[in-house]
Amino acid sequence: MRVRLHNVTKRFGPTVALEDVTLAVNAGELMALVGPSGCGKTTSLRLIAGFEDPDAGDVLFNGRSVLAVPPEQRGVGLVFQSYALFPHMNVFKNVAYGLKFAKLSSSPKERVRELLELVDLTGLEHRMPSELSAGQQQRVALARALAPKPKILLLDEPLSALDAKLRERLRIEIKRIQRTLKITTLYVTHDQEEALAVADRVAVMSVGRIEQIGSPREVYHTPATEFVVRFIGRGNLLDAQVVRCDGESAQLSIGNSSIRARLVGGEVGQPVTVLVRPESIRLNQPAENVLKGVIRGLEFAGDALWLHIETADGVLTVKANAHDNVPREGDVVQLGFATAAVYIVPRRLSAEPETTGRRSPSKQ
Amino acid sequence: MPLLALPLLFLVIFFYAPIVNLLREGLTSDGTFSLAFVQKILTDDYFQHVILFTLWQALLSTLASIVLGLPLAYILTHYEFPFKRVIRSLTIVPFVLPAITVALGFALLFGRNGYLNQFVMGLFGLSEPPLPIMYSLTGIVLAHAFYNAPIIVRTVHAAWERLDPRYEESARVLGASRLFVFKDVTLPMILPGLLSGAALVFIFCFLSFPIVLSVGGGRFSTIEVEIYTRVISRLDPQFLNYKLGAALALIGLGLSLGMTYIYLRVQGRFSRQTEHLRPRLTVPLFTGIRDVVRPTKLLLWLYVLVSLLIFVGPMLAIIADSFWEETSAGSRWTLRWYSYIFTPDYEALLGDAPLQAVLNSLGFGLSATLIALPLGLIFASIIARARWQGRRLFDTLLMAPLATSSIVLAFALLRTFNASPFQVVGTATAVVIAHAVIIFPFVVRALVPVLENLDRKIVESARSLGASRARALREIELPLVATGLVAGAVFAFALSLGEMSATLMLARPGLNTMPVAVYRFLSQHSLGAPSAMSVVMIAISALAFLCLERWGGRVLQRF
Repeated sequence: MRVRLHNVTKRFGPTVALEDVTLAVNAGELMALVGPSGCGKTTSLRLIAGFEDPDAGDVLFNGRSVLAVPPEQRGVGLVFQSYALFPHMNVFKNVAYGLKFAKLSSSPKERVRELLELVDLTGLEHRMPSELSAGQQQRVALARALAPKPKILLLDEPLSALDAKLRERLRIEIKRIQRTLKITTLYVTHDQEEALAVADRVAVMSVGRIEQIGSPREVYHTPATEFVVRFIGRGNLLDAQVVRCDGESAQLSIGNSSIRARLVGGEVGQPVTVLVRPESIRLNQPAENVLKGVIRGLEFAGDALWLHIETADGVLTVKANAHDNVPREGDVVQLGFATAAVYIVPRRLSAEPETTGRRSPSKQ
Repeated sequence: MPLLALPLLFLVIFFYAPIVNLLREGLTSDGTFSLAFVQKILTDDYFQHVILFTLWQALLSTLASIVLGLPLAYILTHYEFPFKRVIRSLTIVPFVLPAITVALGFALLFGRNGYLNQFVMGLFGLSEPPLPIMYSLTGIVLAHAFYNAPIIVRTVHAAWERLDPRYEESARVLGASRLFVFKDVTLPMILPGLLSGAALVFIFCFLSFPIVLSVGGGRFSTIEVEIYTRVISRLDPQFLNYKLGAALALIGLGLSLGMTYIYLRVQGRFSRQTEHLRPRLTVPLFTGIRDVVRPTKLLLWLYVLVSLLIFVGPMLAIIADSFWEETSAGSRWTLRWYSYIFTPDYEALLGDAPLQAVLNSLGFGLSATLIALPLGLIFASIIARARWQGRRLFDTLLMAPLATSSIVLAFALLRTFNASPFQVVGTATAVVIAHAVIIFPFVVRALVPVLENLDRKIVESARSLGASRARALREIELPLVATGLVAGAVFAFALSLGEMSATLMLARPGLNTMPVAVYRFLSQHSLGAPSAMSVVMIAISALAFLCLERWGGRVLQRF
C-alpha cells in the first residue's frame, strides 16, 4: 500500500501545523519522519490515521483519497509512545481486540498466538498490562496493531518512553518485523539517530514543512538545507566564499584560510555555508585541506574522543579515535580533511523571511 | 508525637467512646449482653420496612443523580461553551449549601401550593394541584438528586478528563466504531470514577436526614428519621425506644461503614495517572447562532430545562418567597421577613428569638471551626507524611466518623454526656462538640491533598540553606499552605453552618440555629421567615463558595 500526503495544509487555530506538505511512502517501505517536537510529524501521522482532516490537500492510499473513510475503516495499525494498552484487558484481549472487527481466515486465538510469537512474548497471554515491563508493553502494542493485518503501520515515537539500551534493541526488532511483513510503515521520531538507524528513507521536518526526503546516507552526507545539517548528526558549519570553481571542486576562502570543497553548486564570489563532519577530520596528518588550532575541550565517549578545537575561523568539533595517542587540552594541532569531505550546503531557492525562525533544531 | 495525641484524644472522647457506649446500649439488656434488640429490629416488619426503604430511596436517589449528572459530565468533558468554568465550579455547591434550604426550596417550588403547581393550574385552568411532588418518594429522590448529581458530575468529569484519548484512538484504528469504543474502552475506564461518585452519593443519601424529614413530610421513615423520632418522643418510661434506637443505629452504622469502605477502596483504584497524558480536545458546543436551535440540540435543551427546574428553580423560589408577603389585602413585595429574622423578640414557633438562631449559627460555626481546623491540620499532616501502613491506620480511624450519621452521633453524645460529672448535653458546648466531630473528617480530607502537595524537598532546601525547623515552617511551609488552610477553614465553617440533624437533637431553647429554625418554621408551614433566613445562609454559602473557588484548588480534590 502506497501512502501519500498531497499538498496538505493543517491549522489548529492560528498555528499552522502543516504547510503544503507532500510526502509519499512507497509500498513496503519504512519511512522515518523526524524533526524536533512541534514540527508537525505527529499531525501528519494523525491525518493518515484519520483523526484529523486536512484544511487543504488530500490523503491518498494507493492513489485513492481516504478523506471520507473513518479511522476504523482505513486499515492502519497504530502504536503510540504511551502504548495505550487497554488497562482493563489482558495481553490476549488487547491483541485480539482488533480481530473482533476484522474478517480474517485464521481464528483469533491462532492469530494472537502468531503475533505473540512474532514479538517474542509467547506465554504472557494472561498478564495484565500493568504486570508487564515497558519493553514488553511496547511489544504488545506492536502485536495489537499488527493483529488485524493492517496495510499501513504508523509508529508514533514508539521507543521514546524506553531507556537507551532497550531502545536500541527494540528498533532492530521493529525493523526485523517490518522486513518480515513487508508492511508500509511511517515511523515518527524526534531522535535523528534512531531515524537513520531504522529507515529506508528519512523525511526531515521543521515547523510544518518537509526539509528533505532521502536515504539515511543522503540525508547525512548531502543535507539539503541548513536545518537538516543542524538536526542530523554533529557537524561543523563554516561561512565561506567561493573564490574559484574548477570542474569537480571549488576553491573557498574561510576567513584567513583557503580550502577546497567538492562542488555541488555555487558561483564565484558567492557566500556559502560549508559542512565538515567531525569524523572526517584527522589530526596531524597530511591532507588536502589543513587548518591549525588549539584544543580547548575533550569529551571521552568510550569508543571515541570528541575534541573541541579553536581555530582562527571558529571552534570545530572533531571525532578522534580514542586509542590514538591522546592529545591534551592546550595542544596545538593540525586539522586535516579531504576535499570530498567539504560539502557546500545548498541555499534555499526562494528568499524566506522566516528562515531565522527555523535555525534552531531544539525549537519546541 | 505528643501533638498527635490531641486529635486522637478528641476522636476517642467525643466520637469513639460515645459511639461504643451507644452500641453497648443496643447490645445489652438488663446489664448483660443480648442480641434481643437487634433481633427485634431485624425480624420486625415495620423496622424491616424502614431499613429497606432507606436502602431503596438511596438507590433511587443515586440512579437519579447519575441520570441527571452524566450528561453534564459528558458536555463538560467534550465541549466548550460560555460560562463553562462557572458551571464547573458550581458543582462544589452541594458541599456548602445547607440541606434544609434545598428542602425549603423544594417545598416552595414543588409543594401543593408551590409555584410550579400554581403555574400549571393557571396554565390549564385546573382546580387541583396536578403535581404531587412534595411529601412523596419522588420529591425525596429529586431533592437528593439536586444535592448529589453535582458529585457525579465532578467524579465522572475528572475521570473522563484524565482518560487519555489515545486509548479510544487505538480502539478506533483497530476497527471499532464509536459505539464499540464507548462500550469497550471509554465506559470501563471511566467506570471507577462513576462508581466512586455513585458510592459517595449512595452513602450521603443513605444517611440523609433533613431532606427526608422535610420533603418526605413524616410519611417516610428512614433509619435516621426513625432514630430521631424515637429519641425525641420522650414518652418512654422503659427507655425501650433508646434501646431500639441504639440497635437501629448499630445496624445503620454497620451498613454505612461497609459502604464507606467500598467507596474508599474504589476511589483509591482510580487515582492511577497516565504519565504522558494528552489533553482531550474540546469543540464548541454551538458552532453558530443557527446551531443553537437545530433539532439535534433538542435533547440538550430538554436537559437544560430539567436542570434549570431542579437546580435553579428551588433557589429562585426561596429568594422570591423571602421578598413576598400574603396579606388580607393581597400579595405584595416586602422586606418584612428580613427585619423579622433579626429581631431579638421571642418567637413561639421557634422557642427562641430568630436573632438568637442567627447568632448561634455564627457562634457555633466559628467555635467548631476553631476546634476542628487545628486538630484536623495535625491529623492531616500525619496522614500526608505517613508511610503506607501508617496511613491506612489513620485513614481507617477517620473512616468511622465519616460514615457515622449526625443523628447517630448526636444520639450517642446524648446518651453519654447527659449525667454529672459530664453533664454537657443541654449546653452550647454539646452542639459545638457535635459540630466539631462532624466536620473533623471533612477538614482532614480537605487538608491532606494541600499538605501532600507541599514538596518536602522545598523544606529540606530551606534547612540546608540555614533556616531552622521553626523558621522553615514559618517562612516556607505556612505561606505555601496558607490559602489551603483558609479554604479548609471556610469549608469547615460552611459545613457547620449547614448542619441541622445533630443540632436538632441536641438543641434546647436558646440553642437553635438557622437550619433548625428553618426546619421548625417549615414544619409549621410558616413561610417567608425561613426563606429570609435561608437567603442569609445561601449568601454565606455563596461567600464560602467564592473562597473555595478562589483558594480551594486542592481542598475538594478528594470529594
